[in-house]
Parts: sequence; structure tokens; C-alpha cells
Amino acid sequence: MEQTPSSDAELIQQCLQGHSGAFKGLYKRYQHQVRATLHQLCGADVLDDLVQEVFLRAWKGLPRFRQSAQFSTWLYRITWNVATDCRRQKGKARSHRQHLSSSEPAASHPATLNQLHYQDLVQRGLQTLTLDHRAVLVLHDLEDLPQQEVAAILSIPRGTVKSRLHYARAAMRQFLQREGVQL
Amino acid sequence: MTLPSDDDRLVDFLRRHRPETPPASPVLETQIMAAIEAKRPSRKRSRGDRPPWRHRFAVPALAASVLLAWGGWVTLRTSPLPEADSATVDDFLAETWYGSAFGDDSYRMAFDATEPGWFLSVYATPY
Repeated sequence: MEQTPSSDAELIQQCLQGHSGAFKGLYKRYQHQVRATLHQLCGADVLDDLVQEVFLRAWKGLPRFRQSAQFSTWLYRITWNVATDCRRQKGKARSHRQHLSSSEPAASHPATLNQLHYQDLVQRGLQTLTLDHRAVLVLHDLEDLPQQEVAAILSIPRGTVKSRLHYARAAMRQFLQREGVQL
Repeated sequence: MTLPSDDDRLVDFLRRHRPETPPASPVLETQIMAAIEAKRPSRKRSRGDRPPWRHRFAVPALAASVLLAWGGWVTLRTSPLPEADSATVDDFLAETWYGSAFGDDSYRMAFDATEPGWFLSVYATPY
């Protein structure tokens, strides 16, 4: 049985030697995080296309990837770039809300009505935030990345991460309270 | 890291109720792999396709610039007057000066100011 290389660095080395199979390993390892992050930032619309764009950019950019950096941070950074490009192209995101609220109940996992309602609230709450604030909240609070890494991904100082996180949480809390959620 | 309890509760709520990510299309992985097969990154690049603009055209561009600069210098530089020409100019200046200074009419030119265009004839008359 073929042994899977354990580290990202090994997989990247193999990719650079032309083994595209190694990239499949990286894809399998990170596609859930990339997908979830893009979903929180851009919604379900064209999600597959965005995921594909992220991994294509990563593949093309591998020769320029500095081995000293962390691959996951680098990949999140590409994800962030793709998300901002997507937002720029879309321009208007208002129709998006309706789409999301109609698409969420179609989730494959069974969930209670209450759970679906709260999921919808969280999704709508995220949509009320600016993309910058949402990115910090998603990466730090939902993806559980440390502030230092969030700062590196978004190319902002750590202090900015802290302040954006503060405002994003406050806005989210207000939104949830307005919707009748007691935290 | 210790969060304030308000933040703690909020983050906990968000994590418990984060929207589920829709499943990927079953063909997405195949599509991505097919796309990257078409665009292979390569660290060992051949000399020819390295940085195409910077290196491939740098030397010819530099050579062309040098050639143009040299050509311009050769074309535009002022050639010194031949010996015979400068002697003629000296003689002419001396004669004209003497004519003006000592009232020799052979060096003066008569103009009729009543004729129209007499002023232009000053410039049109060869010395």
C-alpha cells in the first residue's frame, strides 16, 4: 500500500518535481477548510468555482511558495484573495441573502428546525458584517486560527486583528439580540 | 487565551450554529486535477522560458540602445569647418567691417526706402 507523505513540505516538493498526485494529497487535506471559509465569506453561490480557483492559484504559485512559510497560512491567504476578488466582481450581494436562506434548508445533514433557524441567523449575521470584519471573525472564531496567523493571512497588524474582532463580535452580538437570541 | 465571558458565549454559539458547508460537486476533485495537469508548475525551468521579458530581450535591447546612442552621437556631432572655409569667412568679415567703418561705398548697399518691401531686400541682398 502506498504510504502517504506526512508533511506538507514533502508533498510540495513532490508537486514541484511534477507529481500532480501529491497535490491531490494537499487538496484532500485542506479542501474542507478552504471550502468552509469561502462559504462563510462568499456564501454558497459558485462555491465550487471558488474552491477550484483557490487550488488552481495554489498550484500555479507553488514554485514561488517560500518553504519557510506555513502552507496552510499561504493557502488561506489565497482563499482570502479569491474571496475579495469574488466580492468585487459580484458588487451587489443583496440577492445573495435570499439565495442563502432558500438553500440552507437543503443541507444534507438532518437538523432540527431550531438548529436550522440559528444557522440561518448566523449566516445572515455574517452577511451584515463588512468583508474585513467577517474575515477576521470567520478565521479566528470559526476556523480557530490564532490572531498571529490571521494577521499574516490578511496582511494586517495583529492590533488591527484585535480591533476588527472586537467590532465584528459586537456587531454580531447586536444582530443576534435584535433577532431575539439570548446569549 | 482567556476570553471575556460574553465573547466566550458568542463564539460558542457561532461554532455550534455555523452554517453547514454545502457538499462539493462529485466531479470537482477530478476537474481540479485535470486543470492542474494542464498547468504544471516547474521549478527546473529551461533557460529559454525563464523570465521571458527580463532576460531574453535584455541583451538585444541593451545592444540596440548602445547602437542608437552611438549613431545619434555620430550624426549630431558638429563637424569642424574646413580650413579654406574659415579663411573665407574671416576675409568676408574683415571686408564688411572695413566697409562700414570707413565709408567705402563699394561695400555699402543703397536702398530706396520709398519702394515697398525695401526692408526685406536688406535680408535678400547677398553680400
